[in-house]
Amino acid sequence: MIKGKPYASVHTRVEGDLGEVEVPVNTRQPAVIKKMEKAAGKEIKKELQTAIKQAQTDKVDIFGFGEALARTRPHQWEKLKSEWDDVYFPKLDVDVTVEAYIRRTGLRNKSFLSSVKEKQN
Amino acid sequence: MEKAKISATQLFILMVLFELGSALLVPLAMRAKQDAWLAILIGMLCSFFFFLVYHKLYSYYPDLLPTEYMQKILGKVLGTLLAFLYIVYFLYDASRVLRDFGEMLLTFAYPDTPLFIANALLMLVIIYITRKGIEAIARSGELLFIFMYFLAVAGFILIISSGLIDFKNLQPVLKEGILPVAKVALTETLYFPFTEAIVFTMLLPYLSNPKKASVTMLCATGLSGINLIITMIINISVLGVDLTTRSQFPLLSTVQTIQVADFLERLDVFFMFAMVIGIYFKVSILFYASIIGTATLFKIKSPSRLAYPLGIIILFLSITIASNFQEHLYEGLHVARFLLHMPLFAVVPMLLLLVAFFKNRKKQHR
Repeated sequence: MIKGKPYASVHTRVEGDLGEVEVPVNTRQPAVIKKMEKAAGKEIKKELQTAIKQAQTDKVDIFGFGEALARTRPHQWEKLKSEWDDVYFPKLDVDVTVEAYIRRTGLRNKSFLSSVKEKQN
Repeated sequence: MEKAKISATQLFILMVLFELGSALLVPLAMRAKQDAWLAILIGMLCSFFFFLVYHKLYSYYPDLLPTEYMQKILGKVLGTLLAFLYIVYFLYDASRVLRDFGEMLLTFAYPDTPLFIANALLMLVIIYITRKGIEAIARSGELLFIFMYFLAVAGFILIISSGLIDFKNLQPVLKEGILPVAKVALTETLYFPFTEAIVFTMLLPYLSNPKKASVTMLCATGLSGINLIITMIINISVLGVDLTTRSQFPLLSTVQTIQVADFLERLDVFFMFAMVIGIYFKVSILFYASIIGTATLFKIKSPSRLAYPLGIIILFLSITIASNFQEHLYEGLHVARFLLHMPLFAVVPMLLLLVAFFKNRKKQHR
């Protein structure tokens, strides 16, 4: 709750492996992996924000933000409860943060295209 | 120091297993391309010199651990600091090798298992064996050494009989002259895996027959060097230079190509067994060295009591050491090499020997 208005923040942590690379990048460089992690995080954030916005226009709180509020601020929830779906939820400020990690790249540490490109240069 | 003795044969076996440990896993010396085997050979020959340096230091103080004789050579304060540095390095190296093990397992066989579980399971076994002491480690080494060589020979025969080896992949030899190869040998293979065995100076005082120390060390380095050379030659001649360089674990890729009589294939388990055995001994020995080092440095009466706390340090360090495998490898190749390997394996022992030499000469004159 900020200044009497409900406020939600969503924090996501994703972990995964690199399965396939179709562009000539040297995945042996930690900097390249970092860049990929950032790009993946941005993409996931965009998807999450779209999903939340869609739920807000449809006025259905499928993510359970109301429940979370009921658990953490029960007294304030009592006041908002009756109008939550129609008034408060569609206008809810949602802050999305994503942490994405790429842990390993499987049995190859560098793409075939990358070494082809190196030979051409 | 606990009261234990190991024979020269046991030292030899432990040293071979140690040096094969994680060196079989990675594309060793692949910066020298098709001359990787030459780089390993040169690295091995150069490492003989350093083993003689380590042995000379040992012969000045045959009953003391390096962490103790450092204090005798350099004085209380400086010696203690240096000994502490070595102990921290052994812990760090153990956690690096443990991380290698976990990453290999997860990449190859258990993609959905947390790294922590894979590492913790091996670490529990290692904590158990180090609590039992060096004699137990040495005896289990004797047992598993035979098993590992059986696997190696069987795999070797299978690779040859499936007709995969093409020695043309090794040509041209020395395309760009000897210099790039020598550079790789002196900056990479010399330190990893060969002089990494400096940790065995911590085990030399346990040797039952001190006269055999130098011969054993040199023979063990020679044998493991030859094994690594054969492995790299096979890898390159089966996969070619490009695929070997791009492989995370070239030996695994080589073993996967085995196909004999249309039914003998998917022998990846061979590789897994060999790796688990090798890495198990590598971590055990580094871990054991750091335990006895800590015990003598801080005058703790029963070293085995340190196994659990230090083991948990290694376990957590192995997880937090890097965010991903690429970062882990990069750290090993570009950071640890110049900051840790070169000074700790080469420069410091030579300086120690220099000081020890002058100190002991003075004594003899009197």
